[in-house]
Amino acid sequence: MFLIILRKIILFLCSVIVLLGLTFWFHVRVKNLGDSNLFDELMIYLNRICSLDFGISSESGHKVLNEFIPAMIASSELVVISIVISAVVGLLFGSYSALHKDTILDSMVTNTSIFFSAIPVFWLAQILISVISVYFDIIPSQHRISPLYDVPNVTGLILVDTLLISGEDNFSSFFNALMHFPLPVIALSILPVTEFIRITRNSLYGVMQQNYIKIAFSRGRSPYFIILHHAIRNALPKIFQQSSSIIFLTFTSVIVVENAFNWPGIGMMIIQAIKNNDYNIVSIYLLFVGILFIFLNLMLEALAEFFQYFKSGGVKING
Amino acid sequence: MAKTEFLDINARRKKVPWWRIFRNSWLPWYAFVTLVTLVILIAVSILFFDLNPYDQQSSEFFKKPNITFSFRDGIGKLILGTDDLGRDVYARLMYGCKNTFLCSFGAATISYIIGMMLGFITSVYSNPVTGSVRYFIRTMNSYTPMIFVFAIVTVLGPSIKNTLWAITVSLVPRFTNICYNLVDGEKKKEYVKAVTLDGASPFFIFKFSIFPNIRDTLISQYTKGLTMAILDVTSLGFLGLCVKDPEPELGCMIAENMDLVYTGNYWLIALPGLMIVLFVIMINIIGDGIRTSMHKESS
Amino acid sequence: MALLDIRNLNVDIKTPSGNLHIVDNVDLSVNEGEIIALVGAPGSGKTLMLQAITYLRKENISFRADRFKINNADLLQMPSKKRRKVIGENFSLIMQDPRSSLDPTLKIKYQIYEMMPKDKWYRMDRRLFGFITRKKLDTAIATLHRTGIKDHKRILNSYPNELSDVECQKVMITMAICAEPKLIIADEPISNLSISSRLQILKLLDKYNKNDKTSILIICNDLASIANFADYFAIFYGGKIVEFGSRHHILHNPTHPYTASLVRSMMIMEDPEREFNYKEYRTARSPDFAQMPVGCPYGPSCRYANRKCNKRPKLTITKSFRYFCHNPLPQGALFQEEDDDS
Repeated sequence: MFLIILRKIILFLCSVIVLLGLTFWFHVRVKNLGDSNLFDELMIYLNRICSLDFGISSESGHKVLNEFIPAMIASSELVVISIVISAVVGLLFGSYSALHKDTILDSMVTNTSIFFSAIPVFWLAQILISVISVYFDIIPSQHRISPLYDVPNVTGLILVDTLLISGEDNFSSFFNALMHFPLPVIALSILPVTEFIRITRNSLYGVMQQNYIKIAFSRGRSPYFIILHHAIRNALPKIFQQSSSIIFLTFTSVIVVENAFNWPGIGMMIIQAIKNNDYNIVSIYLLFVGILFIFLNLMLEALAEFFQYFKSGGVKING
Repeated sequence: MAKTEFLDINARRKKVPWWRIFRNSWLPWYAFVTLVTLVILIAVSILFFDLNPYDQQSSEFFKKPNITFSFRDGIGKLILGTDDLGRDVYARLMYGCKNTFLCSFGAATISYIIGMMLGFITSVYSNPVTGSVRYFIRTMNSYTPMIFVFAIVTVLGPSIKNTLWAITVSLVPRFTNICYNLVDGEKKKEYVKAVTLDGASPFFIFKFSIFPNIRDTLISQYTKGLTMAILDVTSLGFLGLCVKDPEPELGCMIAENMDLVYTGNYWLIALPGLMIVLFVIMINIIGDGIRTSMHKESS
Repeated sequence: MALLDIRNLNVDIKTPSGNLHIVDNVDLSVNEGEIIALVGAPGSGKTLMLQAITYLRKENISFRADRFKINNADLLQMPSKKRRKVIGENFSLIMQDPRSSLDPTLKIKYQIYEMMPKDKWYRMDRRLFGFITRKKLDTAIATLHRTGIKDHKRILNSYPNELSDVECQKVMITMAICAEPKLIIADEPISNLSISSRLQILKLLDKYNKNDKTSILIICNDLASIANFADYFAIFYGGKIVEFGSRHHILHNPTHPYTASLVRSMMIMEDPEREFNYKEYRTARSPDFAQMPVGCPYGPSCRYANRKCNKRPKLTITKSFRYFCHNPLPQGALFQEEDDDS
């Protein structure tokens, strides 16, 4: 087991080195080298990275790190909520689909998910905005909270901040912030829901063909008990493995969704930076997001292996 | 026949003419026919109709689409209306489709070929060099493709060619990974071991024992890659990273006309989105149909 | 009073290319305390019949029967919830591959507890692991001892992939016994084990049958292993029971040629000094169900086939045995076979 963790740490370090090289290449490409050596530049750059000085954004003039962290927090709020909701909905529909495979309802669920996975996220966002926000005027769609409210930036998470000042205005800012959530979350979580449905359906169907489920059925247990007790426990490892790609897919879509809904997160930041040729922000984005992805990936894999290891007791007998 | 004794059961199918490939299912066949019709429509519109997507006539902007048409002013202005600068929506749609789909089709095909070859090579010949290549590609696969796309497009500047190369680079690890897993899974099977013991060359093993069993998965992965490429190209277009301004492209069109929806011109973003959705769904259905019918043939 | 009473069972499988009629007009009845063995080549419909009886694989199996009663409770008329309960109370299954019959994510003890019948007092059995009493633990340990596992502590607290195959099979039998069934259905429980382990398992089942008067319905490929174990044999070929009789009858004077060939192959293994001409020994393979031969299914592979065998034979029922053949072997024909030249 420790060999596995060691391998993963080495992988992590290699990837970090590659990312640093990539951002350094950016840095070099932009800046005029002048008289100094490439190697000296590398040393200076590494020094700066180690002291967490990522430079100054050429557009706004502030430090890049100070702009990046609040944006990251705001984005992660949206991403986490949407992943949780999509996991729950996807598991429910996927289990239903797997248990009643090849019936009409199952084909309805599958075909709907195929249809929804074909819709581009930004177009869906536009439709949601124009139909629900503009035409029917039910829910607001732009920014995180109505500009009438003045919310202090304590943690960066809008829901927590509005809860902190809820005593003064009786939760009205909290509800206003809450009303800004549904549309981006729907737009962001449609694609993960379809993926979760597909994965859960395959995994659960494979598990239900196993013998222990049949024996439990023949014992006369009710189907709900069997599914909760046996089937889902055995289906989860497979779902777990593939969920990492879904999380990364969400991180990609969040860029587009934030642009559509004007959500002040890393998506908006990176697009402005690319349009304004602000390479410092682009390089810090690449570095941090890349490291985050690798870290998440490694953690998920390590977690899966950890559970596997302890479940199997670590020793196998070939009998 | 000594040769057939070595062959796996999947390789001994009889040949089926290509138009019967969707024999038992009507939906993929209809999707295929619709797709071909749309492609022919686009090609004919571009080549034979006199369309001009750049022509701005300020006297005729915001014309809504209407059904009655005559050929006086040109087809597009009367069927699908004009946008805020008086440009012909039909013309922009056709040229935009051409740009988007050629770009994504090219990216998907090139990355498919490169990815598959890399996958085969790293899987069949396992030595430290290919092993490290495989490790590297597996790491790259765990990132989402968009990171590389952004990196490349930022540095090189937005244009169609750069988008094509960026998306190609981002899809290669995915295809390599898939191909490697497939071939690796097949290598462990008993019939491959049997053929190896009989003294077959790697090429023989590959062509007769491994390839027929992974053929359907390969084709369905190609269609999935194609849909991913289309959605990536349109996403980049939406973000403004794909083409320069007067050029039409489906994502760009949606981004530009976003604000115009508020004044009631819904068709300006509905039509490009509809084209994207139609194409992606039909490619999905066709890929699914090919995979199902290939499965049925061999089972 | 018959524990299990089935008349005219027909099972079909739905394949992509139509319905395949596999099990054809099978009668079976099990009384208390009997051991009945279903013997036949793989693919002759034995497992399918069992899956149909226990309502396991519902999607592509359709079966119809004239009579299907458990303890005089008619299962064909029942709603499915009640049917499930009746089957659960009376039957207990042992499947072929012990490793895949155990849930790999749960410890053994929880799986054994789950098999026990719910006590009427403790309604809290609806929770995930049920209400685990001291009584359940004691029952589990006692049953494990009966199956021959001495170190119950290690077994109870381990996961299934830590145990060897024989231990897994013993755990399966423990689970089947703890359910306190009236009928144990065993689907090839010993086919995957080595010869010496087979005797262990069969001895256990026999002991349980004698002590608790439980009936056992065992499916087996190999007549030699269960020759001294079962009371009655039902020989399957091509989806029909071609012969049904007591042990003495089957082993000493079988009437159906297929039974005779099975018994002869068993005798060859028992007595290797007997001269046997391998060239003349023809094995019968299971017929292809999509292209069944007209008439008797054993016809094409039978030594005694004549023109009568193109017509479907009649099921002949005598006092102690049934057979399904036009040319039944006379008494003592088993030993005369050896001397014939054909």
